[in-house]
Amino acid sequence: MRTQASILFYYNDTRVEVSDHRLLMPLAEFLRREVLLSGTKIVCSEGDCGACTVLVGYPEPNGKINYQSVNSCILPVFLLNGAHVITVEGVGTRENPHPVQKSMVEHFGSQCGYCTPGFITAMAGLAEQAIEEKKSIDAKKACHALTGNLCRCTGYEGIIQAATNLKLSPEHSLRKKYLNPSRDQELSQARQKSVNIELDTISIHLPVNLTEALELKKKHPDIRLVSGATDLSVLVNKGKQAYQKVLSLQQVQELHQIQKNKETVVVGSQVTIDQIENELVDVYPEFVRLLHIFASPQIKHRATLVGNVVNASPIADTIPFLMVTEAVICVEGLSGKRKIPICDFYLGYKKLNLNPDEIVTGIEIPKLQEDQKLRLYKASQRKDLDISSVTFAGILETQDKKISNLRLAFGGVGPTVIRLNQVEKKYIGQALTKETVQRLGEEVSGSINPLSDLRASKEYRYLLVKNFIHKFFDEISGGLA
Amino acid sequence: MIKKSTPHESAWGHVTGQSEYVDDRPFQRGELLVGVIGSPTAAGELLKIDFTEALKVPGIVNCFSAKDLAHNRWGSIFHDQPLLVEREISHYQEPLGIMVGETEEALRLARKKVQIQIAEKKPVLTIDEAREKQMFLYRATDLHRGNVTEGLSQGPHRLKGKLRIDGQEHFYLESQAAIAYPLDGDRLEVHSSTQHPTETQHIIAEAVGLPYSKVVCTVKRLGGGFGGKESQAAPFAALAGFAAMKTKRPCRLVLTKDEDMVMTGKRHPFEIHYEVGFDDQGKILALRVELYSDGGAYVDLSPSILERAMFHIDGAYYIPHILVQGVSCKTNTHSNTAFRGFGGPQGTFVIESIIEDIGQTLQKDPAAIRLLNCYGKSDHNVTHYGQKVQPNPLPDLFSEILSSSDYKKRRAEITKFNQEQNGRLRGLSCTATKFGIAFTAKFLNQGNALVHIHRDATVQVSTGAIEMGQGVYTKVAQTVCQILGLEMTNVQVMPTSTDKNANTSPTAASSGADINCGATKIACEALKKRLAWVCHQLENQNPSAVGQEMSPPPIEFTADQYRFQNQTIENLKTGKIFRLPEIVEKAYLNRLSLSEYAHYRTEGIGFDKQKAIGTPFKYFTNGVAVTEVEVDECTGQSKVIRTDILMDLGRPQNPGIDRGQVVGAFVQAQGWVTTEYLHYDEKGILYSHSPTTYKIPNIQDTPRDLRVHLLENEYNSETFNGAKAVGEPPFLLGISVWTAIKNALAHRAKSNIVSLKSPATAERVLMELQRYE
Repeated sequence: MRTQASILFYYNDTRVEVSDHRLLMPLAEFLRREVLLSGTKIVCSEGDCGACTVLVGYPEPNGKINYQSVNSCILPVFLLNGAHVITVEGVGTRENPHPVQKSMVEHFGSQCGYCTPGFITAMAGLAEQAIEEKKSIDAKKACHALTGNLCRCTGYEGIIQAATNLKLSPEHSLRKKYLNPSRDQELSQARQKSVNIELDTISIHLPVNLTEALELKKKHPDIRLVSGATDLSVLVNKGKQAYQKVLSLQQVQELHQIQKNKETVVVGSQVTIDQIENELVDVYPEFVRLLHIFASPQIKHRATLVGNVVNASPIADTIPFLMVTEAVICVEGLSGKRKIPICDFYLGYKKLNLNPDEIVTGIEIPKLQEDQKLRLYKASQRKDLDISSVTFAGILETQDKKISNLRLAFGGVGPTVIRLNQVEKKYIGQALTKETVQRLGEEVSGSINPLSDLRASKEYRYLLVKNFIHKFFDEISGGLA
Repeated sequence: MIKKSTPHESAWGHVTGQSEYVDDRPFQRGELLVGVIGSPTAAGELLKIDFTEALKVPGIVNCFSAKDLAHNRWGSIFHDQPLLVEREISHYQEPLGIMVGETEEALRLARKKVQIQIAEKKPVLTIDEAREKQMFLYRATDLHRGNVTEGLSQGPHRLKGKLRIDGQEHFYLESQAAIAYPLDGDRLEVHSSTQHPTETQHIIAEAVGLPYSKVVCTVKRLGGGFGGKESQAAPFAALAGFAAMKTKRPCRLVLTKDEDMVMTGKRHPFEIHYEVGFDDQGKILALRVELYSDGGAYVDLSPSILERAMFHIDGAYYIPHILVQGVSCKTNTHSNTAFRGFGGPQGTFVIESIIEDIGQTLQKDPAAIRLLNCYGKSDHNVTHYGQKVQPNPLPDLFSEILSSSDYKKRRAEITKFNQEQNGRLRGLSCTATKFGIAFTAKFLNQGNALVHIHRDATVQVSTGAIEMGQGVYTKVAQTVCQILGLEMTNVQVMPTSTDKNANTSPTAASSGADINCGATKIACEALKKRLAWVCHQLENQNPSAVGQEMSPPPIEFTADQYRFQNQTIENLKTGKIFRLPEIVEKAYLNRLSLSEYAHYRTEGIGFDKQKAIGTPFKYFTNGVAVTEVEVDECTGQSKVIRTDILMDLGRPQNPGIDRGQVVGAFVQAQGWVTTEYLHYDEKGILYSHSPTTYKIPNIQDTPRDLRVHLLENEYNSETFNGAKAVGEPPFLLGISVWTAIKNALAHRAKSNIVSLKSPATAERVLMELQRYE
């Protein structure tokens, strides 16, 4: 087994190997403090404002590097093995500017300038994709790509103008600017080697195959699995947790796959939300629609579906969907594999049905039957990029104007996401009428116990639950008598 | 040149990551970090703060508390606020002490080892409680006209109501930041992210115990200010300065976003009680208003903010009988402070809300009521404090926007849409801004500028203006260019610094460009005259005088016949053209000064506080907006479908920059009235202290269809270049989003008057809809 005790990456044109305490730094801090590239700004340290956005590309199995915008304040350096990072300084200079920089200047896209580097890099990522696909950028696309960047000055008008008036041509490709076969190969090779680093009380592991990972997990049951680090890094930045033993599976290639079977889809543990949005739009259009407002592009480029599931937040946006589709969690230990229905996976607030030596390798999601109608709703203070007050997932099948199958799940109404099996059962066979839905609404309200917190009051949550039920039946039945 | 939409002078720095902010400054050898210890409770007595264990943490250099400071009181109006708590704790996370250490890690570890003993008290958290306990920071002089009691009794209709407007976090992206460098001779150089370097300099000097002349405060640019760094940057700069003086090492104090949001003040929450009388047509006859602002723990700028709210209670409307009373309450929350609009938005909010209610009561379109009550051009054009609204473009603005936005047609469509009961509700509303320009504290209406022409004919200009994104440096440079005939590349605006421009006013009250460009103009005119004089001498010299030294220009000489452009000076009478660099060199060789310092004061303002009458403002900046919203009846969430804005900015100095101000202000206000909700618990702890929990508008929230127009060919005779101030006025137009939501709800309200607080969060909207069930 080839293993290395350092990680290798490039930022702009500079090659760097890191094997010391800097491994645990957020990339943003590394850039600002260690290599004096202070264009990248840190504002919130929690991946919610986008000021720290940089482009990061990892070599794919085919050797190609695709740049994606990420929040460098919550990306620890140790996850950069084999990566190429482009910062605002690397996008272009006054003398040799990138079209996004020119366009932002011309359209008054910056005022105080503090969020600007983040917008430049995110927009450069969008431009790179447009160059690649030879497509233009409309306002919808621009807004979507820039959802994760907050600006307090401009009201965004100039920024949207800038993004939709880019003068792009193939010579502006950042890939062309920075990559060449030997660099590609060097990065690919770095990624094919396991990384094992011991530093005082800290150990960092990036194995390249699952067996290696399972052995580590068996040996160190307390090792912390890190996927996109979009949640864990926030806790570390805010002093609520510290990295000790960490295990990343990002170099285990097979876990990056989405496998489409006849009846189910299996999503590997390293599959990002972004990948799902791109690859599963035909299978789960409703789920992909929800993912559009799930988080910022920067987060979706890093965060994984399995991460969202294992993190077990009671308001996780994906879990209600997985509950009503009756997804199965695939776990593996050295002693064997298990498949756990998601409804049996949560034992309490952030408590999982998982043995210390086991790793979640993926999630198997059944495809919808033709007459199963699925709806997913989310209410939050701000539509995009906000943590939900209440999330809802429902599947309904009807026969002869009667309910023949009903599955309901809610997030934000208790310590875990809940599936309402008891209530559902009672309504099978009942006539699909306004009165039924009214009763069902009351009954659902009776079986939940939401809390008041900073996002919503208890009363508001009750009301949302009721309204979602009504909306669900209304939408599917096309209006009830 | 000056009218051109030249890009922001730092735009290229912004987009390439080269623009430097305080925390981007490279660390000096030996530089230390300062960490602030905040109070865990909102009220109580600090019995003990003990750093013994914290000081044992490796890397911790020193720790300080109130007793160490030379002077521990500051405040922009009254010096009532301690830098560090002595005994009484007045709000959650109020600074109790500071730690100075070599690394973040050391500060993090030490923080846990600071021992604090507090006798906790029950905090006063609401305006009601403060009123009950008579905890007031300030009571303003009443503003009144006519006889309100009589006026109210005349009207066939009367409405009584109470309005609650919550606060707003500035959410400047760059948190409070300062670095202090100790210099020889007991001097300090402090780089601070402050809107008010002069006050910051003073507070640092006092905290350290130095004369003001030993302290220089320098500001290159701010990563956003919005008022949040007008008064409240200074205490953090003072703590950094103090640490630097004590340790004799550079000290850096940069708050995290979370720290900044819990420690610093916000836009004042207001509670307003009112009674309005009106006739059958909707004409307002009388208005009685009591304004209660939540000033938080200390006075800060609360009195001026309250007074501006009272000045703006009329909005764009003439109210014959009126009585406005105002009190600022003291509560155990962060000390509330300046925020774009400075009370103006809260004041105008009241009348715009009342007009919606009048519309609902009379079943009339609120836009018709607005037209009916709008200030007139020749009569009904005097405000309740005696200032004439003149010239008054408001009637024209209203009629133009109602037609250009297709208001009537859309109103009919919306009524139809809302009858369809499809789970969505639409609302439409038109509101106005009439914002008074000038500091209401008269002495602040002054500024100065220092201009150097160097021997290559490039210019350095320094003023008291702070660049925080609004483009004031660009406008200062444009002013120089226009007068001296230069290109933007020939002019360098220097970092603002108290050693070049002393006794400056904060960059605030939308006045930054008026005052500082005004001073720059005076300085440049003097230089222009001197250079023209050189030309004059050269042209009129008899050959025998060659070699003689030129005299300074006589007083009666004017540069009127000389045109400065493209780095040349042309004598318009003779047609003779001189190259500017040659004239500059000639001036130097003839020992004529190429530098000029100038002072500017805003003339023609004055307000008699005793009689509550006068001319507090130099002029008004006016504008109108029409906003359409859609409310989801299932969740209460709303979105802005379309906004039309029409602003009168005189003859804008830089339309590109000014348009950015209009849109930026509008969207910022949209956040204020919709999603930006500050959640405090019953102990006064703020839970929304980061972008995860505090939701400012993002790119998807901006109006889907946004049409902004600036009136063309207007000229403001009150400023030297005909432009009007733009920073704050358009903020008030964001109120149209809230009134549009209110208008949408009115379609379901049956016989209820819509009762909505601001912000109109999804929760509040849904709960209000529920009330009509």
